[in-house]
This record gives sequence, structure tokens and C-alpha cells, in this order.
Amino acid sequence: MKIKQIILHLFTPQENNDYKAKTLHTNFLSFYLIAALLLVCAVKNVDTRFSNVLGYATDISVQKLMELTNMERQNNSLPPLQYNDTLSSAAQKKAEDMFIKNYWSHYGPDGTSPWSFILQSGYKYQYAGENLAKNFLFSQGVVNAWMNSQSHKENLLRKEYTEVGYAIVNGVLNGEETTLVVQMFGTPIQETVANPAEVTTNDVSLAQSKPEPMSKETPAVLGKDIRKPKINLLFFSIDLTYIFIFFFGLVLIADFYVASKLHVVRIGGKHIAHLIFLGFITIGIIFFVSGGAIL
Amino acid sequence: MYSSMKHFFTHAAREIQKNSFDYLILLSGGILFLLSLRLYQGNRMYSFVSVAAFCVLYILWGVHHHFKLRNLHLKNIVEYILIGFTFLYLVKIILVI
Repeated sequence: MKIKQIILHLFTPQENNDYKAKTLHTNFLSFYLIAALLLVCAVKNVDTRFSNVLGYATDISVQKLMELTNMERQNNSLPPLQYNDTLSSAAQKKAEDMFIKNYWSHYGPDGTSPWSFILQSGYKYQYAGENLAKNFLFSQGVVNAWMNSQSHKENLLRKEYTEVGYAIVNGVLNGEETTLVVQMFGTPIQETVANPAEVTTNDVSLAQSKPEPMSKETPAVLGKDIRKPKINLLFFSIDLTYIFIFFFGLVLIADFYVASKLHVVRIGGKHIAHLIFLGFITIGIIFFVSGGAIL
Repeated sequence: MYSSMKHFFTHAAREIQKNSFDYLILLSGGILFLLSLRLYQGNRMYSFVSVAAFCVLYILWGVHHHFKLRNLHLKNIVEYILIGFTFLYLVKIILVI
């Protein structure tokens, strides 16, 4: 009985809570704001020195990207790609070059082509290709975005490619903490082929300005032996945000419903406006979680 | 359940109809916010600026709306500010800024 009263007091308008759900009172709203601020500080300050906590990072991994890419190829009756360390090393160099020279393009501001990184790494190719992505949170989002773009899809599903390498690098690009994904495809040169250098690429370019040094942030996720942290703050904060949105939305609906049933007139914000705001913010969060930019 | 939902939506529709112009402004702001997110997809800083602008619009909307209804109190303003900033900070975490 007491529990029921507490629940009603917290979530519905009653005489003992001034006809407004207690969880919507100013002191509770202040508590939510302070909790959000503390979470911001926690995420900012958690460093990779805490071995079991992944701070500034995304949940993109080479293994998952490989798996999803090969799944798409298999769905299109194509043979799976083999992971190649040399191509990954080239991808790593390309990503580092983008951070050092501060550009977001297939070609560097000095005209450096993606192929020069591949050749510098010692990979002699017959065919080569490159896909880029930035600021995605999940591997699935990256591969989905590539598959939704014709030119990237063609690269991903090109039958000539036999090998692939990846680099996932965090750094500062154009003054903004950025996660870059570089995917490099290749077909090693056959002994009998005299002229290498047939290459394919997506020909979009988006140059950035103002160079900045490489970030000290968690660097590349390259190779296969990445230590998985026990706690991923990104996952934790996304889950927490969704739970809070659900909770807050439900309280607003319950409070509005009961107040309108009781014909209560009270001083306070408009719940419908709060719900509209909450709706747009939720759609926005879904955008952030699923989206990024590709090139 | 059905009658509860009907009751909720009837009252919500009545509230929106009573202040249709104000809600139109809020909805338009929301649509612009989503369009700007689409435009700046992949750019965390610009996305965050869009969220911040929408939060400010929401707070200003609250002030304007209650002023128009002649029931503007400090309590109302604080409510809009607290809700607006709570979600702004939650989005800030997800955007890793």
C-alpha cells in the first residue's frame, strides 16, 4: 500500500505533490541536470589508463567491419576478402596523414594519392581501392552507409579484390575529435602482369584546412588482438540516455493524462511542448548513433 | 487502454489547437533541427551547435508561450531551462565533444 502511494506521489499529480508528479518538480529536474553534468565530466575524464573502461571511443572494430563486409560480398555471391596486414599498415598511414595534414579526402592537399600509401607499405597491387568513413559510432553504421552509396558499394563488391586492410584511428581533425575509418582493398600483382596500377577510387573530395598534430587519444585499432574493455562508456551513456528519455516521456504522459482527467489548473511548463521537444531530440540521437560521413 | 489513449490524444489535440501558431513554431524549429542534423551528418561540432540552437529555441518558445498566455513565472522558465540543458548535456556525451 505504501509503495503504491510512493509511486503515485512520484509519477502522478496528487494533492500531496501540488498536483504535479514529484519527478517533474524543479528539485528533481535539477537533479537530472546535475546527473547529466556529472556524466559529461566522467566521460571526459575517463582515460584509457583505466584498463577496463573505454572512454573516448567508438564501438567500431576491424573484426566486425571484416565480418560485415564479407557478409555483404557473400550475399552477392562473391568470395570473401582476406585480411592483409600490409594493406592495414597503408590504411593506418593514410589515416595518420589525414590527421597530420588535416584533410578529409582521398587525395592529400599536396596531391598524395591513396595508392602511394599502399606502394610505400610494400604492397604491389594489380587493383586497389579505398573507402573512408568518419564519426560513426558502430561498425554496422559504417558498412550500411557504404552499401547505401553506389560508388562505395561498387568498391565493396568488386569481384577483382581479394584482400582488405583497415585502420580505425581517433584524433583531431579540423579542431574536432574525430574517428576515421580507412578501408583499403587490393589484389596483389601477379608475376605475369607487367603493368600494375589499375586503380579504383571514389572521386569525391572534401579538403579541410588548418593543420593540427595527431591526437594523443586512443590510437589505431589495427589488427586482431584488441583488448576489449569490460565497460564501454559510450554504450553505457547511450543506454542511459534512452532509458532516461523513456522514463521522462512516460512521466510526462502520465502526469498530463491524470491532470487532464482531474481538470487540474496549475503553474508549469506545457507537457505537450516537452513531449514534442523530447521527440525531436530522440530522433536526433538516433541520427547521431546511426550516422557519420563517408567518402 | 483505448479510452485512456483517446482521452490523452483528445486533450493533447485540444491543447495544440488552442495554441496552434505557437506549436507550429515549435514543430517548424524541430524540423529545421533535423534538417540541419542531416546536413551536418558526420560533423560532431556542427551537430552539437544544431542541438544547442534547438534547445535555446525551446526555452525561448516556453518564455514566449507563457508570456502570451499571461502566466509567465520564474518556475516555468526554470522548468524549460532545466529540461533543455539536461538533454543538451546528454546529447553532448553521445556526440563525444
